[in-house]
Amino acid sequence: MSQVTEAVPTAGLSTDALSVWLRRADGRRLIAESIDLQVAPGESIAIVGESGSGKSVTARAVLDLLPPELVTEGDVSVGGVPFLRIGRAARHRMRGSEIAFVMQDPFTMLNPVMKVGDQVTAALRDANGRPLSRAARRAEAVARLREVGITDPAVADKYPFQLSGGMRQRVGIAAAIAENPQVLVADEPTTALDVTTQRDVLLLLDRLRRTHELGLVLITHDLRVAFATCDRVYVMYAGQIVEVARSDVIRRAPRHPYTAALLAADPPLDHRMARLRTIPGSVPAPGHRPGGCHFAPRCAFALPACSAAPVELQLTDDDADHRVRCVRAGEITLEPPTAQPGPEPAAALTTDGQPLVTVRDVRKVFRDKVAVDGVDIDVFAGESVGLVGESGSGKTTLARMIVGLTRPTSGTVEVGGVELTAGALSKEQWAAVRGTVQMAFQDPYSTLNPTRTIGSTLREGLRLAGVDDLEERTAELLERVGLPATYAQRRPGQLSGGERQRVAIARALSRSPRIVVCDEVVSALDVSVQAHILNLLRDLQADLGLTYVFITHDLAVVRQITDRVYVLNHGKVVESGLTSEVLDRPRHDYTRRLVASVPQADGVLGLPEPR
Amino acid sequence: MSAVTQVAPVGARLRLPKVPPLTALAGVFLVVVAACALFPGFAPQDPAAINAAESLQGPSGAHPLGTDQLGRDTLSRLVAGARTSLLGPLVLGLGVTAISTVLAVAAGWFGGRTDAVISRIIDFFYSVPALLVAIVVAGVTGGGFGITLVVLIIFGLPMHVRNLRAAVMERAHLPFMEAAVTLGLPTWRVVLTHLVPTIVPNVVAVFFVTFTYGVVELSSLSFLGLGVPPGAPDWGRMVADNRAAVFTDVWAVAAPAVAIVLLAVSANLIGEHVQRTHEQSRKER
Repeated sequence: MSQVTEAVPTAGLSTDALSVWLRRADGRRLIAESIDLQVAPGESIAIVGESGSGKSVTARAVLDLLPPELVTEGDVSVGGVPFLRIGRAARHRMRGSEIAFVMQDPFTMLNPVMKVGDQVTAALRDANGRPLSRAARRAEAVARLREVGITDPAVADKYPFQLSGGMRQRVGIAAAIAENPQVLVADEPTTALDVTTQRDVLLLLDRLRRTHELGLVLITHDLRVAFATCDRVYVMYAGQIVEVARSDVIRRAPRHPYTAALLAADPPLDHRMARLRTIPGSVPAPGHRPGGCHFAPRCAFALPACSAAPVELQLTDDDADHRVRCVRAGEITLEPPTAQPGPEPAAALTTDGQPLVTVRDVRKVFRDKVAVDGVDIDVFAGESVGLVGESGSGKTTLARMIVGLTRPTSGTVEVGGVELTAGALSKEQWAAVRGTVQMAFQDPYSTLNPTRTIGSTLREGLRLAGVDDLEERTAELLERVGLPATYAQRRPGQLSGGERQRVAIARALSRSPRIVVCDEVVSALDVSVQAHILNLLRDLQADLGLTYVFITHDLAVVRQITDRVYVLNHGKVVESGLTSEVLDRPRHDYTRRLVASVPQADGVLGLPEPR
Repeated sequence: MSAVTQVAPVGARLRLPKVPPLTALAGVFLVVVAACALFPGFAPQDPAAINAAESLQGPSGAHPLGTDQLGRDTLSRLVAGARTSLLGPLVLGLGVTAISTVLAVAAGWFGGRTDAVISRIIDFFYSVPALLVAIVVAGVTGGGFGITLVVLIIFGLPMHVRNLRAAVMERAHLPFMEAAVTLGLPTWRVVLTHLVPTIVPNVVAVFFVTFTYGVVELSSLSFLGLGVPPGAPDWGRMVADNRAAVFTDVWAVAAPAVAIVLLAVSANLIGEHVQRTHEQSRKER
């Protein structure tokens, strides 16, 4: 279905040595280096990379939608037209009609004060180039919305804020393809969506690609999404394309060490790894990229020769269209990422005795919305319990009730022998609760006070725990979470996302709690960083005998870190049990749907399309 | 690697700040005014010395900025007037900033009934024209600098309490605030050591905005004869006293008027500069 090698030069999209520079007072910095992309009509490609890889900048450069401080070099051809060389007005006309763009956040993409139907048809003209009549517009809008799977004609008369995230993304796609463009560039179109909704949107994109002969460029950080949706994958690292090949080729036999490491770091859904593989170091920022191979400093196979000179993308011997930017591509053997299924540790369950946390028939109502609706949960010492669900399932509200940040409307929550719901607690009771349960939060950028040093953040907790040798214990805490003790003098702004999350975990540990509630602690992190944090959490559990309550929407993460799991839907527990049992043999319909929605290596597209 | 990055912020602090020339001029002007306010002895002549023979003279060697209707030296009166012209806005700025911060934090952090009570009172004061009340109060009580300031402080609060309250509410539920609560930090410590520092840029803005408005408002009241007592050297008062002679001798009116404008503009420029540097240092961190 993919005409890979025979990409017709005139149709579809191609870029030739497309580079993006950041202009600064002290000179210019290369953000994306000489990118060559080819997308044939009806073909889908993915540009995959971690944050800092330059993938989004590349996508915007293709459409000439960069902010003024970023400048491009090189050529982009859309349907044979030299897109960057024609005038600004001509380019503006081509956007939408020849090449269209779908953004990550479906809400910012749509005009909040304009009805959905009008937005979808805004750019349409009749045969004489005149705007359509009201009736024609309405009919057209309903037809276009049906095309993206919205069958209810009433939606055309609604405003964006009246729609769910998935619906908004569908509307965004409908508006983008309204003028039948040849190429659709989608920048992380499903990242903000729940996994079940993500599946629907990916299926939709795939269907439109086939029915409209659309060249699809999908920008994503998620390898699974890329493999499931796209014919070919471009892997980007530090501004360069490091590997290009058909999806199945990259998945089974990556040739670049970075691609292989990325694949290995991605936690599998179907089994628990003894230890997740990680990539040392972090992605270098523009201006700090090493000469020669950008990945060399983090590469297990690096030789002095790797850093000597810039490395070109070269054809490999195994597949006609497999290119890789590695001087050692021919000589090194990379383990296939799926080769080593780690042993599944026997779930050491101690679900007898007194639970540390007891939640009984808890309800939480915000105004007229029921967030948590009669939930029972037990957490026993030494185990790791997952709370899984999509947005709006009540999992975070439940977690906040366990640490005492939110008061339930009714029901009881008991933590370490103290009943949080029993009216006003005494100072001593609160102290007991705080010393028992601590929390780590999702967003690494707001989890730490930007005005304080790491050291003062950690000392605060230590002091409350009654520790005397503050300096020593601060250094100890930092080392425990894998950071050098010198980080105590730094401020959060000088740390990467993963490092901040480590500090946040250290802060939780500063009170020597028995339970740590982790609210989506890895969901904002890149795959390789996520693997580091998951390994760290496991080590801490083994060393300190911690108990975890782990809130997440990611089933693969749940598999790696939890022993037992509660599946939440609309504020109710729909299924609970051993993590392996629940994921391998889901009994409830909702759990089944959740498990089935995770993009599998073999593609969501193998699954029957719903509706 | 840590050694290198650790040195960076220290270097940033030592680097001489780049100040735009206009802002530097504004700074110099404020320093001069402050010096005059602190040491009224700078005045070349007695600001109160009346000399009818020399009334309404243009600039000369003896009187660099000329004289007023009563023959008093304009420059000397400008210098002497610096005290009330600077002190008034300063007290107003500090008062409004302090009180509005406390009220905003109380309303935004505790919410519920506290918020409702504070917000309704603020709403009430919002609906009353401040300058009018100041005029009425000054008229009824016989005026005076102190009472005028109190009225202006009270009526300066509403806008700033609302703005700061919004800033507080935005930050009150940031994860690092909640982490501080979860750690077991007493509420007052969370508020003082975590919440307040994050709204410092907004608080600084409140001060400079109030100061600037204060310069103009207090001068207006002095112009109307409702601030400082008659005869006292004050820039607003000077404009009022000499306005009849504006066509005979423009200097006696123009000099204090220009001084008022310069003070307001300078405060604004400095305020903006403080904001910008703060933002930048935050970004660099």
